[in-house]
Amino acid sequence: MKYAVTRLLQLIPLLFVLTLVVFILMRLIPGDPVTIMLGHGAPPDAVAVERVRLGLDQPFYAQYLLFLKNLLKGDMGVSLSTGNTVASELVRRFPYTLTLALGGTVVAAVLGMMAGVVAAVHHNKSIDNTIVTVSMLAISTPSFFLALLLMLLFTFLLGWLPSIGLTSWKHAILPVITLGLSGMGLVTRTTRSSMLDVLSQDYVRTSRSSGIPEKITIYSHALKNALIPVITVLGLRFGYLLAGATLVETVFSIPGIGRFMVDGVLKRDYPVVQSTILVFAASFVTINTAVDLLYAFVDPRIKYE
Amino acid sequence: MKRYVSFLLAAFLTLGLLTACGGGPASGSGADASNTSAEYKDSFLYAITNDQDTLDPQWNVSNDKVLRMIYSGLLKRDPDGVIVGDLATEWKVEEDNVTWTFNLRPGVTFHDGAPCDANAVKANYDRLIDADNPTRYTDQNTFITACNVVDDSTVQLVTDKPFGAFTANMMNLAHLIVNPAYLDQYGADYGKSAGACSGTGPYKVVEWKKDESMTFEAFGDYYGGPPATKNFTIMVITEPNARVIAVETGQVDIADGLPADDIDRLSGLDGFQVVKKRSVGQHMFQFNCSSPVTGDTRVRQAISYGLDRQTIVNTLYSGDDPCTAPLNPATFGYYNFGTIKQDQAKAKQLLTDAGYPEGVSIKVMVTPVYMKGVEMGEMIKAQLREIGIEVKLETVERAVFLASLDSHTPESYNQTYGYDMFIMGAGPSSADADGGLKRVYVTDPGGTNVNNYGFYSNKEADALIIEAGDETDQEKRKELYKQAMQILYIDDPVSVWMNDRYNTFVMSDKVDHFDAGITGIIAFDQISVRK
Repeated sequence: MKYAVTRLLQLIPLLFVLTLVVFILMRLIPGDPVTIMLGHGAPPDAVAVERVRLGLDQPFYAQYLLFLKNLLKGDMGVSLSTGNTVASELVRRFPYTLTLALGGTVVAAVLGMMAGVVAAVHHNKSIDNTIVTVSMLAISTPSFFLALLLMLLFTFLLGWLPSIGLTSWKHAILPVITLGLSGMGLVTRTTRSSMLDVLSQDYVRTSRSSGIPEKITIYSHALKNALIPVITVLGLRFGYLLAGATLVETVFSIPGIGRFMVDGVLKRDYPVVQSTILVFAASFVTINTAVDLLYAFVDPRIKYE
Repeated sequence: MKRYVSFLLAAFLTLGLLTACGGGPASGSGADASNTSAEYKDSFLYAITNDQDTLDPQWNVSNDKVLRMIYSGLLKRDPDGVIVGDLATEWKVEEDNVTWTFNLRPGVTFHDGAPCDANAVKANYDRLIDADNPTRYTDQNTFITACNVVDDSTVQLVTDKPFGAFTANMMNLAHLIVNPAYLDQYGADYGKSAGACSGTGPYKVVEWKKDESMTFEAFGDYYGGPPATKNFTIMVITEPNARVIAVETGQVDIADGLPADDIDRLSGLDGFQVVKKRSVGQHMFQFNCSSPVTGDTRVRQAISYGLDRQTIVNTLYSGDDPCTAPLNPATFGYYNFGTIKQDQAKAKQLLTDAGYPEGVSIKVMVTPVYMKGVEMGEMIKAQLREIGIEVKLETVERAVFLASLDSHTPESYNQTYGYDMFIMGAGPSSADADGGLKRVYVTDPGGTNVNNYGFYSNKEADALIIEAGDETDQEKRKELYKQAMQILYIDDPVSVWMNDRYNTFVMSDKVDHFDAGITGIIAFDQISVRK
């Protein structure tokens, strides 16, 4: 518990530095939110009116201090382009992203761990080679291309599944499978190599020689000990997906957090980018702390002081 | 199978470029008088490229497809391009030639039931012309000096001088009339959410999920009669191939902004119809006339003669036409000068005359903001190399493109960007040469590129364009514009005009009564979709 609290407290200086870095970077890149909003040919007087309304006429340091002050009060600001509060937009979009992240991680975990175990058990046999090849394909196929292939098959040819939006469980299937397959490759390879290490350990040989059924040896003894690196990979994957799978969200027209932030960058929507990056960082650190704690649960030898 | 393979190839190539990658006051009474036939659906879905930035017509820059369903103006353009009455039943210009009197349609109400009378119209125009609190379009409407209420159903607009394109300029979306009570209530937040807008149009907005969808419901008391379909939803699908899939698999009924290749493919399939309507839009590459190289008229002419527009248009914009003037044929004032034919010998001679016998290097900016804009830049680069012009092509995102047009002086532009030529898309919302030429090509009084993006200045063209705007005899205006365009297009070119755009829509063959105007306005209230 103390470990978790310490880790989470370490977030505070990290987030503070992040606010500064993102604030400076957003203002260094060319482009101005008001001219983007008002298009080319926008009259300078109308641009000036909008700059005042949005507080962009203030000096940079004043804008930054105001942002920090509001943030401490829990106010993440208002999107320059939509006029909605960033908090309300994040709340509206988070369920979409969470669905994709959870679904994609679960699919990657189940398929990847199963394939990894099978490959390790049948080491150097044709089934192992096939699984290794497929996992390499999964890792190296861009997610948006895989999305289009799945759309072609399940929406175009078979007509089974919708491909636009995320308004029902059916809409979730294709994007979740896309993200799941993309993550599966890495999980498979990690599980396989970790299992190969464990399967060569003395206690596995002992277990086998003492007549314990093979299934129990593999799934009860070996797999549990091989899980640590797999959990690490899954934790990182889940944290990555919570930051939004922008390309997949774009292809399936899902208004998730990833698209929200990329649109924010393209529109130079400062409050959106500044706040969503903070949320991403906080959620990433939190998930990785949770993963660290999970290690102790999986392997009692690991203890945090 | 070939169909799927070609789809996938097109999709993959396009996606490869992806890296850049309320509550409110209660509305009026509900509508139930829409199409009641059992043959038709009571709602339909339309896939659109981008969401609206705001539903406030005086600040909206995204497009006015949707706004025309929420609001009405005093006048409107019918699908054939003719200006007809909307909130006004009659209008005339008084003998002084600067006072325009409009008789308002009786009994018109806003969505909340408030009357749309002369005072409401005045409140809108007072807001539009308020120089102390300008909106996005105030500077484009400085020709209006006052709006006067004569009586409840009569209003007058006064212009600073006789203006030949007055009614055409009233087609700009900023002339749509919004409910003044809502303006007072919401202030700067007007139009930012579904509940924070109110007009007199055939539909009201009932739900707006930003970047996702916007849902409309028929306004039962619409003075033009109930819309054909009770509800419709605009779905925001930014990715072109996703729009293709959406319409092809029946997930939406109508889609626009599809890639040309897919339009060709879908037009040959059963179950679909393609509606192609001429627009006022054009693609062009505009010259930076303050550059040491392209400041020379002969270099600009050489570039113009060095290009084979027909090949470029056929390759990238199947179905569009190569330009024949600085205006699209759908625009008032258009004159057919013919497409400038490629003449490499003439181009090389002009370059030699300009002092570049060995050729010259230029910097050209393109942006994916314009469909196939980057590819067009690549083709231009290849063609200009044949006449000795080496093109350094720079692809920039929208934010940088817009920043380069943000009130620069020639010095700051050349120092910061230094482009000799840059891609541009244009088309006047007024569908009149005044809007298409004056603001963007007449010498900018402040010397910046806020409107005249390429710092173009030709005194003869300036005089002709301004005179044509002041002239009220429409035939005389056409003659003056013809003379001005001879200069802009051929004698002292301001741009290389590439293709005249069409608006193309793909839809299920169950969609009836679809029509779109030359400025891209869609009559959603006429659309019916069979079950």
